[in-house]
Formats: sequence, C-alpha cells, structure tokens
Amino acid sequence: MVRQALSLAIVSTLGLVASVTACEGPDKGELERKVSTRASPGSFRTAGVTTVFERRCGSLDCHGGIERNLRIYSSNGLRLPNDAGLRPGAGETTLDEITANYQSILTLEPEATNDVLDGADPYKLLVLKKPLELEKHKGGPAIRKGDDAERCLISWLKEDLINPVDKDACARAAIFPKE
Amino acid sequence: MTSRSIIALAIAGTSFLSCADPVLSDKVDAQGNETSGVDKGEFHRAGQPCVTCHQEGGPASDAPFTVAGTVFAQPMRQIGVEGAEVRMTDADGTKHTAKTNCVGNFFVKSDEWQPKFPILVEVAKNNVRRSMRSAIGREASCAGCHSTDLEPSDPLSQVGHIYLFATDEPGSPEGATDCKVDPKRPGTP
Repeated sequence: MVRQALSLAIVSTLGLVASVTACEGPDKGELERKVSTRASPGSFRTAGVTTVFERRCGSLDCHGGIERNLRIYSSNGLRLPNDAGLRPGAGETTLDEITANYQSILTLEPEATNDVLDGADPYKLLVLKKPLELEKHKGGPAIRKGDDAERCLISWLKEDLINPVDKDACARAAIFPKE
Repeated sequence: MTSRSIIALAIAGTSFLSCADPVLSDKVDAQGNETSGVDKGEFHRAGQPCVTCHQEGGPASDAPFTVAGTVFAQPMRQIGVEGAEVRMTDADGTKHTAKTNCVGNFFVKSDEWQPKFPILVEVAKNNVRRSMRSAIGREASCAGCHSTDLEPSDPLSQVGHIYLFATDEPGSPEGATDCKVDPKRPGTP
C-alpha cells in the first residue's frame, strides 16, 4: 500500500515537472533582441521604395487586387477605405496606404524576411524572386535583372548607415510606365 | 450495353466533368444572355470582359484573344468610338496596334500578337490620345478592371469604362451612323 502511494506520488511529481517545463519559455535573459537598419519603414516611404512597388506591382489586375496575399495600395490602384472619397486614379497614395504596403511586404514571408534583415541573401525573398522571374510569376517580368527597380529594392533590403537606399534608382524605377 | 461499357462511359463522363473549370464557368454565366438583335460576332457584348469566353477552355475557345476590350466616347455615356487606335507595347518591347469597330470593340487574336505582360496601352483617334496610367499586369480583358457600371460596385478597386473624349465624340455624338448595330451600349443614358 505504502509502495503504491509512493510510486503514485513520484509519477505525479514527474508529470507536474514535465508540464511546468513544457509551458516554460526561455529565460528573459536568453532572448536575443536584434535591431536592424535594413528595410526600414522610413526609407520605404522617403526613398521612394513604396512607389516602385506601387508602379511595378500594384495595378488593379495584379497586386492591386483584394484577392492577393501581397496586396499593394496606390493612388492609381487599390485604395484603402477612406473618408476622403479617394478612388483609383485620384489623389496621392496616403500614409496609411504606404504603411499597409510596408506591412504587406514585410509580412509576406516573416521568417525569411527576418533572415534577410539579419544579413541573409535578399534574393531568397519572393518580392525579388517573383518579379525577376527567378520563380514562376503570372505577372511576368515586372523587374528586369540589373535595372533600377532591382537596385532600389536591393539597396533598401541591405541599407545601413554607410550604404543608404539608392534613391536615384528608386526614382527612375518609379517612372513606369515611361511617361 | 454491357456493364463494362457502362462503367467506361461513367468514368469518361466523370473525367470530362472534372476538367471543367468551375471558376471560369461562373464567370461565363455571369455575363448573361446576348443582347436582343445583336448576333454573336465582332459587335456583340460591348464593354464586357471578352477574354472570359475567348480563351482556351472558354465557350469561344475557337477564336481566342490575347487582349480585347471596348473604347467608349465619354465618361458618362457608353457609345462606342469607331476607328480608335489601341496601341500596345509589351514587356519585350514588341508593339501592336488594334482598331476599334463601330461599337468600340477591339480584339487581338492569338495568331496576331502574343504579348508578354506587363503591357502598356494608349488609345488615340485623330489628335486625341489617352494613355493608361498603370501597366496591365495580366488581365487580357479591359473589363476585368474597367467596370461597365457608371457607378462601380466597388469604388476602391474598380475603375469606370475606357473613354477617349471628355464629352461626346466630336462630329459623332451618337456614334457611327452606318453601324450595323446600335453603337450605344444597352441601358446607357
């Protein structure tokens, strides 16, 4: 009887320990918080990276479609619900729309994007592989190898204090269609 | 009929049905019936998404189009513009120009031009020219994005019909007078 109670107690204790361990996360001290200068939201807007995505990817029949998982908002394409009555073709792309574009791009592949922000090869990301047709892309070659759009996006994904975003390349790449 | 042939027929019937694209079927059904008095042909269904049917697997797959649409005169009425040039340039830089008929329809057959998307488009007649602000990424029917409703049902993701002039076409306010069918889209003001 005593042996039975003892073994029950041991089993219960082991179970309790196991369940506590299973629920336990890593110690706070073990969490590594990294800060990256790459792909910053500030330069996404001010260096004109958003405009490249808007012009090259955001037409209504492509990533300006609400059925797309990578959804791009723009003045000439899909609009965020707004009180100003802005429709496709009217006004400028709003700050909210730029923020939504940034979130679309950064959260398309969260883990891979984290890796790139940590220094991995940017060409592992769909936002480059698809338009460059390194992977099948229904919308065709939205970006050509070696063109200004590629330079713009790569410089943004690798930006740091010494190597800023190539604003000139972004500005040239945003002239699309050629006017 | 033997039981073996019945089974074979059943299998053949099942595989035929399973090849039909339900999404495409729904899109085709959504186009509704032909307009009374307008036979199937180059003048029918102005303003509708042509390539829904004129594609592989569609009910008009014997006449597939790579790009097709309709050019109307002005934003508030839907009267076709005849003889407008639709100038297109694809991603490889190849160019093709199509001309609209008297209801404003134009179409590019697969054996005429196989564009590589994205493509850029401008429409012109006489000295009036309008360029599309964005590139066409993949949609072969203009009406895929350009709604025929004067007030698009989803104003955040749809644009109105294609038009060339700010108001009625100079000299042809009611469209081409010698058109075999009415160049006005049914129901337009």
